[in-house]
Amino acid sequence: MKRVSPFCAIIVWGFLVLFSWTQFASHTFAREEVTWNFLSGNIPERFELGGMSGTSEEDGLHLHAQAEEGRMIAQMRLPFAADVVTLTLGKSSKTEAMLLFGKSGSPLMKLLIAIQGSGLQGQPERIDLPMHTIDGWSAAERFGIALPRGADVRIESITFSRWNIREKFLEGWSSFWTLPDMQAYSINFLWGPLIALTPPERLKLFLYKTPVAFSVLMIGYVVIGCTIIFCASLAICKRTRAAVIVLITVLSLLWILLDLRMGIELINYAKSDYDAYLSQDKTNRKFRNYGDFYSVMEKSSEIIGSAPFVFISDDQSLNIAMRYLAYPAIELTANESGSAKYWLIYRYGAPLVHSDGSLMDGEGKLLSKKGEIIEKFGTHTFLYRAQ
Amino acid sequence: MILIALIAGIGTLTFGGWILIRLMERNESLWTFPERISISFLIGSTSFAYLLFLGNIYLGIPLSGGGYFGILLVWIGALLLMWRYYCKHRGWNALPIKVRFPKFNEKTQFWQILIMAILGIWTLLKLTAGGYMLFASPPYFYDTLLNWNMRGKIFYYQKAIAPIPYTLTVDLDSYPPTVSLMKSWLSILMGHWSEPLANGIHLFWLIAITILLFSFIRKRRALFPSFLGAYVLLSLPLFMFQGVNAFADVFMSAHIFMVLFILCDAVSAPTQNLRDAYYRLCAIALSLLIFTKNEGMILYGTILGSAMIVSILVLRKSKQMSGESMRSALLWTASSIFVIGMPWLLYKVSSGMTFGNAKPLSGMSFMFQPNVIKTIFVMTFLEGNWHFLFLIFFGLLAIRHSHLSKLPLSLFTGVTLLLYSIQIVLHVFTSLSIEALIQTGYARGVIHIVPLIVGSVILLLFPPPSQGVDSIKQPLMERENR
Repeated sequence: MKRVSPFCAIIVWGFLVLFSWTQFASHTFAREEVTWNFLSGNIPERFELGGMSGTSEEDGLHLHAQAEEGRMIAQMRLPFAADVVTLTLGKSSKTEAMLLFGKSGSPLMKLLIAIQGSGLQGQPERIDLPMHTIDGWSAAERFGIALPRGADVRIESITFSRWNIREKFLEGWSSFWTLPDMQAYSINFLWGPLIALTPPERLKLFLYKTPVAFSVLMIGYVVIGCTIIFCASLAICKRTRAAVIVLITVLSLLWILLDLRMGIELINYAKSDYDAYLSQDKTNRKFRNYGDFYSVMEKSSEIIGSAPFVFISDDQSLNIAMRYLAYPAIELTANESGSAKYWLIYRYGAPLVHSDGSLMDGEGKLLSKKGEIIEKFGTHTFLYRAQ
Repeated sequence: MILIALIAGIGTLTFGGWILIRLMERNESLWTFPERISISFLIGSTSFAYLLFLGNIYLGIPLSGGGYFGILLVWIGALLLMWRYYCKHRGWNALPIKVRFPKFNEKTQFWQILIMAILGIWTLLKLTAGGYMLFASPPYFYDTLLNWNMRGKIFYYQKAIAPIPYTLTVDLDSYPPTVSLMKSWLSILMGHWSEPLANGIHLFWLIAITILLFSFIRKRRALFPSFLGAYVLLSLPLFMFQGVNAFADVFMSAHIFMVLFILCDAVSAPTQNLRDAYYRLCAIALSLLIFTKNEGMILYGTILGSAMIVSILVLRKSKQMSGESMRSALLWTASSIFVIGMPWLLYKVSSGMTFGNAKPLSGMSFMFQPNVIKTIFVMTFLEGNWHFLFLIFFGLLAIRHSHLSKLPLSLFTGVTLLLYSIQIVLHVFTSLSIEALIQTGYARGVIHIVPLIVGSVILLLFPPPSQGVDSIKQPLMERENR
């Protein structure tokens, strides 16, 4: 009878264990969620309020810190340690709040959260906070929120969510294949595949400068470490050749998997450029995070030629691209602008063109002689030619 | 039209480099066809850029179409005349003897062919996507918009090596104008500033370094490890990404690798005449490093030049090099560095330009920066830049350190480690630490030497064939008899 290779046996056994676990774990541990719903005047928990008023209203819990900083604390009687806390806010002022949490009898830890105030437009604002990555959260028994003076916030609900191991594994696998958009820093370093364990983290994986996720390479090093230990045991059993083959195979497979992932990322960059820029007509082109800027510059350069011009925009990060795309036309400084024939205004919020045709800034200061808009690209974006 | 301009532009420079190599080879034949083409392209393009610099700055020749073609014709004409003279009066072979890679007693297995096919197709797919972005997408990154392409545009429109017309915090005009001059040259052939050509030339530098790495390994190992070396290099995400964007770091890495490549061949040369030819070309490649990026002169040129001189002295001491050959090699090195370095140095000093990359050397302070070590660790091992390359590299150094006692692996890996160590020291102990902390500097420095690291990994990972080609006396090539 042919002897089964121990390597093959371990691989098969490992897959059987992993498969069984992913199937049975879902029956044993389902995703868990506890929601504190404040709509329709509901108060789900007993809160301690300090320094601010709290009114239970139809559209949620209305907190207003009028005279001083205020805080609201409750006991967190959850059957699990939540992975993510989701705040759903109604009409609120734009502010920076503090999430408070900690053990009973201990000082509360603080986490800064930015409230955009988008609820003012009638749409609830949803803030997902991956708390499982925060030190001290798992032992927390108290939970609350602190508002600065003047803040006016309506809380519709607070949801505490926990995903089971199988779901986290699937999220991690999905996040492995989540591709970033090209950024200005991509030429200096690449994040590589990242592992996020919850859907809110995965959906925002590359939105922040420092992703809230960990590199898949850490898992890779653990796998390599285990493989080295296994190979060392093979070597001790005088099966050195098998040990080398196993190690090289594992390293090769990991490398090829990473190459596949990063290669797809590179191809995706090319595809994104084709879809958003190269396959579009000139009026609809969007180039990476520059939007329509390159198209505007291309059209404007055809008109400006090599004449000096003035560039005005709220976004100073465009200057380097602007100077390159406009060259041989040179951008004039503020002191030299009086002699400019062309003015390129790109998404400048303040109204510029006076009723008599001259160009003025938002404070009414005259910028140029009378002229006319010769090319309009969009809201607050146009090319102006002085007479 | 773009294709014609590209072929004509790169082809003429490669031809010039080819003739220059033949002149240095004299009656020898150093390389196989792929190596010869790659080195011809690298030496030819940078030499031509240097001549453009000399012509414009010292002779006032405008960088118009006439200026470019005039300098090109004079350069290639002079090379051809010299070549013809030596062929006619010294009896040199007009064409190089055909050289092949050695046939080791290792047959490529079917599973190896299968792996090479699959990985090769995948790599070509990535190169195609990257090449498409290079040729079709507009420039995007900071250094491209502000330095490499901007200066190319300035040279094209001003018809001179003119400064950037904006006040900057970094002295970008102090960078050698090589890369930008190549962009300007290709645009001259198109008749207008051409973004596709200005960007597309970077793909050729990427291909050149890949061919050189493959060839370097192929001369010492069988086909499969050589292919793996090329595949590994192009599978490194940050290296590939830099190679398919208009940045100059892969260009720099190609020149650094070329110098060490030729030096290792020189050390391994089986005959004195071959060794002399290798050292002549190594001297030229080394001196051209000065005209690549600022760190080519200050950092890499110094280390590689020292390695070259040490190798000459060691070979002389072990009586594997005659006194005459030693003097010739040292003279070629000194005179090449003088001819290329002195005009560039004079120009920089007289123009008040700084020395350094991003940060002027004069303002550099020395102080231990502890936070940088963690950043370097993360960038090396935990970001998506290099996969597990450094783990494998350091692991192999630990396991196979006994292999490092033999030339040329000891020279190759030793220089690699020295260059990498200097990168670490610079970022940990000088004001370049800021570049590491904000992740704009360290990884770019690693890109310069990553082909060396990949080469070391493959040579350490795969044992030498039974013929023992790591011996300095073993011929690396098979040459046809005439």
